[in-house]
Amino acid sequence: MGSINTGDHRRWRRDERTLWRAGPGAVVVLLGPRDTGPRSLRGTGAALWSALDGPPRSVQEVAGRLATEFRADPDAVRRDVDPIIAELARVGVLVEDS
Amino acid sequence: MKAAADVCRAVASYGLPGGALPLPRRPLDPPVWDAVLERAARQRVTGHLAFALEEGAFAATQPQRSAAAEHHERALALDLLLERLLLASVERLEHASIPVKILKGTALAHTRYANPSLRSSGDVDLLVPGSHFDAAVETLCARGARRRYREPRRGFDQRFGKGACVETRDGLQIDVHRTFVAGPFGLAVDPDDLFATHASFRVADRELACLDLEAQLIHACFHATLGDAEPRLVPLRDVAQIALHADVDMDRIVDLCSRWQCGIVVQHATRLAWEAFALTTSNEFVRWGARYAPSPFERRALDAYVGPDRSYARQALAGLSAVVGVRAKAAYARALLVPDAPYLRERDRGYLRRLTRGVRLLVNERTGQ
Repeated sequence: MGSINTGDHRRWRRDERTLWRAGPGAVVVLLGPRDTGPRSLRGTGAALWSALDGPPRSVQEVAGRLATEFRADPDAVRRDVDPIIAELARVGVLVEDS
Repeated sequence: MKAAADVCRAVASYGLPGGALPLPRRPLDPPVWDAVLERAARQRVTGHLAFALEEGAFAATQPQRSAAAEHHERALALDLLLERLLLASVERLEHASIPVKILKGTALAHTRYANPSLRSSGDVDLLVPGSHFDAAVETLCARGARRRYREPRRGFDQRFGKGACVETRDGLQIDVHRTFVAGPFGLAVDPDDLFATHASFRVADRELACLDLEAQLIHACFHATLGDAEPRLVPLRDVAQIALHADVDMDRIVDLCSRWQCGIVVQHATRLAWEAFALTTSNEFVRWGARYAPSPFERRALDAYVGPDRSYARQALAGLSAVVGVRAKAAYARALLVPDAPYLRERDRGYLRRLTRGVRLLVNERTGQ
């Protein structure tokens, strides 16, 4: 399984074919176009999905939004967010904006 | 368990303006909680339960909250699988040039609830015009899905039926509707009316057609009143949700109820929903329902669905009065009394037995027994 480089210059958005529901308690259930079954995001993953609700954003921008929302250190948030974006891009629910 | 049923009704009414049913202020004892959770899942109201718990309106222990969240997550996962099936089904129907609208669950979740995760579904509901009905069922069955129940005679469903249930290979269900319900009220609805107006909503990257607001509300009333012997909480919530949160055009409601002879259904559903949820809020729609004076046809028809001896056979017989034209009535009666042999084998095991049952029903109907 190859990892995806989420680098600063790359911008990410939700794949608009992804089906999803946001439940209470910071949980998001997703069914991407390539998924065989639904997957759940909790905590940072759910917040990240919510932060990608508009135009494409870089990892830096997403981390900045979440850091402001949760009053956290942007560098620490970035370290959390980076692998989640890479994984969501790998499974096809996030796509790079070209 | 009555306590669990009461709590579930309160859960299903959570967030409605004027809802007067109290939610637990202290965590429930384990047996009651287990019954509440089981019932909430069965009635598909885990969304309201999860939100009530999350917002602190329903007192619970941490394990109880986790269990409810888990149940709700499972319901959401099923909703997404059904939504994927819905999108694939619509694509195939459109590819076959068959017009289609989305009914009930998914359409209401995306158009009438603030968060779609509050309205879960158990199946996919599609509406197609009668003239395309057989082609629609055939198209949906093309990839290994199967129709669950036969029609009495070829062509019956596309002319008189409510619809057909198609089951996919992985056990998901698509209800293909021609009209809202079997029997007289379904036959009284002019199917052309259902495609005369346009409304839509978006799921993922697709724009999907649905009923307009007023037709959605009336259909919710059909579902709440005529669907199950014991009205289910979700359609009752749908009725209250739409009636209290949407800006309903009363002139159109009155017009549709007159055209479809279904004012009594709206009246009955509103009363059931307001009683079930102890609602104190009123508006023009509710007041209109309360003072509506049903016709003799409507009273007789409603009794076939909610009376003590309700049955599909009674509804089918009562449907005869809603079929327009002598030739159409003859075709309807013939299909029901002398159905095709495979249908008969599944149901009555013989023509004589079916005919006897039909005559007995007819006599009872005439003598008011």
